[in-house]
Amino acid sequence: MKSVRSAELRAECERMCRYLIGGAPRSYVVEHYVRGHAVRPEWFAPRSAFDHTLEVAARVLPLRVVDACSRFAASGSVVRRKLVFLLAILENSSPTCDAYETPDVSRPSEFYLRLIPRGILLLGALLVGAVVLPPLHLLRRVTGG
Amino acid sequence: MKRVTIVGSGASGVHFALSLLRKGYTVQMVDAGYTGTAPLAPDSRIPDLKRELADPVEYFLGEELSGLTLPGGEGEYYGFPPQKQYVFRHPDGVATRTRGFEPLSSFAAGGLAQAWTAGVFPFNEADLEDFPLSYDELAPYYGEVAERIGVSGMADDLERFMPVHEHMMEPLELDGHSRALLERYESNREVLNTRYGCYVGRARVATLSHAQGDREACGYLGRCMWGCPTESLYTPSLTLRECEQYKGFEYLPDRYVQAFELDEARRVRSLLVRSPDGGELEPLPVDTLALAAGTLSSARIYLASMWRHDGGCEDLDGLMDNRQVLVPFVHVGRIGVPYEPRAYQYHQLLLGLETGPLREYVHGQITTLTTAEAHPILQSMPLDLRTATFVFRNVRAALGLVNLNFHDHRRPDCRVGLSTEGHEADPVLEVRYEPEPGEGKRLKGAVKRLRRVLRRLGCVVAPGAVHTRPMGASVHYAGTLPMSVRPEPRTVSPLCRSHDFDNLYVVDGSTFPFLPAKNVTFTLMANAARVADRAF
Repeated sequence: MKSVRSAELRAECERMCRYLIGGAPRSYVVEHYVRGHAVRPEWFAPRSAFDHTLEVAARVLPLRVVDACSRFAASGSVVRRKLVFLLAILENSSPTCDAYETPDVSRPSEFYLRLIPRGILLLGALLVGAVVLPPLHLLRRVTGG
Repeated sequence: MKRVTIVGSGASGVHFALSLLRKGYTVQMVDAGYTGTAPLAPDSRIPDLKRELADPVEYFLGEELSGLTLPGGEGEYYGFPPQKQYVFRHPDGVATRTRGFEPLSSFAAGGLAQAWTAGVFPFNEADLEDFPLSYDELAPYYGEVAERIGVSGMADDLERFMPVHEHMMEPLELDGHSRALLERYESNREVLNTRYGCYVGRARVATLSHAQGDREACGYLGRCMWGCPTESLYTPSLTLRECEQYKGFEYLPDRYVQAFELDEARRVRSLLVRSPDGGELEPLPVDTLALAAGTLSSARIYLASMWRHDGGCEDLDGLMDNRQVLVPFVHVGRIGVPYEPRAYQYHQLLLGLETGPLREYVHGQITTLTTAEAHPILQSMPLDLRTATFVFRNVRAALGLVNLNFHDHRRPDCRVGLSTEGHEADPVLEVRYEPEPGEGKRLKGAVKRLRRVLRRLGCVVAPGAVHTRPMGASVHYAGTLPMSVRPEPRTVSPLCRSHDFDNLYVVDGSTFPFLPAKNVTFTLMANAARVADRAF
């Protein structure tokens, strides 16, 4: 049972890592991710029915959709807590710390230009979430899933 | 010569002790005395630690993840790093009930200032208006303490709020962001001074800009918050170490003080102490006692003593603390600039906003973001985390924070008492705080003015990012056993001798009758040195 849970967490870590930094995690990152769940299980346990829905959604929808919707509708949700925990591991270990230290634009104008498509993606993610998440939540409540 | 027993090894206690030891007194210091661990890789900067340590995640987040800040938690923007957790460890069985106040207290060797941000701000004549002493009486002790701890700073526009004292060494180097802000202030000085009552200058900090004794000059490692590995940033444990070199000094750690006992003449006879892990109370005889445990712990000891002796005690009123409002900003012109890991991590600039009488000025500490953890900031941005990461890495060198501090004064509805409810045999401390009517308007007005000032400096405040901290968060507690010329109950004399018990002194913030907006720690040290010099 324990090894099944560990395998789930490893897969979850890999998926979240690809979302956050666009690549697979080092084994060092995965070990800390799994260990954190063992040290503080209460921090990563769902606290509400909507938390459960977001967890299910995180497996089937793009993570950006669940992350964006969580930020505005349930910022303390378990999915977002897991994402922030993984982000904390990534920012404090090499070589992924670079992604939080080194700018990849050289001028304010370039920053604003590159922010536009990201803003559109964020709005799209919120829109998809607004369409998909309420019926999914309702369905889960009705079916008791 | 008589022996003086001091409770607590914080900023007040150690400077009180050192002054007495230099005068030839025998000093006994009773303390729980929790300590931390020695810093790893003392020459490395923060980014190097992430690349060089065998397990950097454990270093930064801690074995129990105490350095992790998660969304939906009860913490604020920043938690304390694992290396500083010992500062807030409590002995077993020490509980506090609160209303309107979130207190922090320390039982560490060196006290709360083991985790301070080293701001050194002397009070001026206006700040001391309610004190039964003048600036001239305190000034020599500011100089003396500055010589002991090492203070860097300079005379500039902030002199109107903070007098210049002796023994100040040249200021620390500014990072690029702070330099740019100061240059912008200088070119807008007239407008900012006259229209907004805003004055900006260099921080005054207890951090060495050049070596002093066996302490090195600041190496700009950006590790202030994790614990300065070169001891350039002063903490009271350094003075405790100095005290331990005196033959007449006896340090008694691993002791939690519950109360003092009185004899028939109502003189303090002994302390009741136990191990911090629990166990039986044991008496420790004293000749002269000085409470320096910090405002709340000293109040706890005082009230518990009265409760044991008389079966009760009136509450101690007049509890004060500085309300703090955090105002994060983005310096627009610095977007895309690489951030400098070689920097002093805490505030390098200060600002004062004059909003009325001089003693009611608003004090702001300007911290540019250098080596702080990213995850607490990223999660608070109104973005998905991937977009937040893109924004953060490109604006990191443009981010800053103004920590606004507001003055407080003694009021009867802010008080500390004992509650026996559910604790009949051993009452617990009860802290109640009521904000002053109209406080919200005062805070809002100051933030509005600050937004305008920041705009003049080329910065913008992100909407929704301003955060009002709970009362208790600044940990500048004061006022519960105030100095008074008149011998009223639950007060002390101008030399901090109790008006209730003549062999009891109180030498911490409890004795301050007014709390200006600026950090009190430097004045706590100077006042403790003054009392040791003048009363003994």
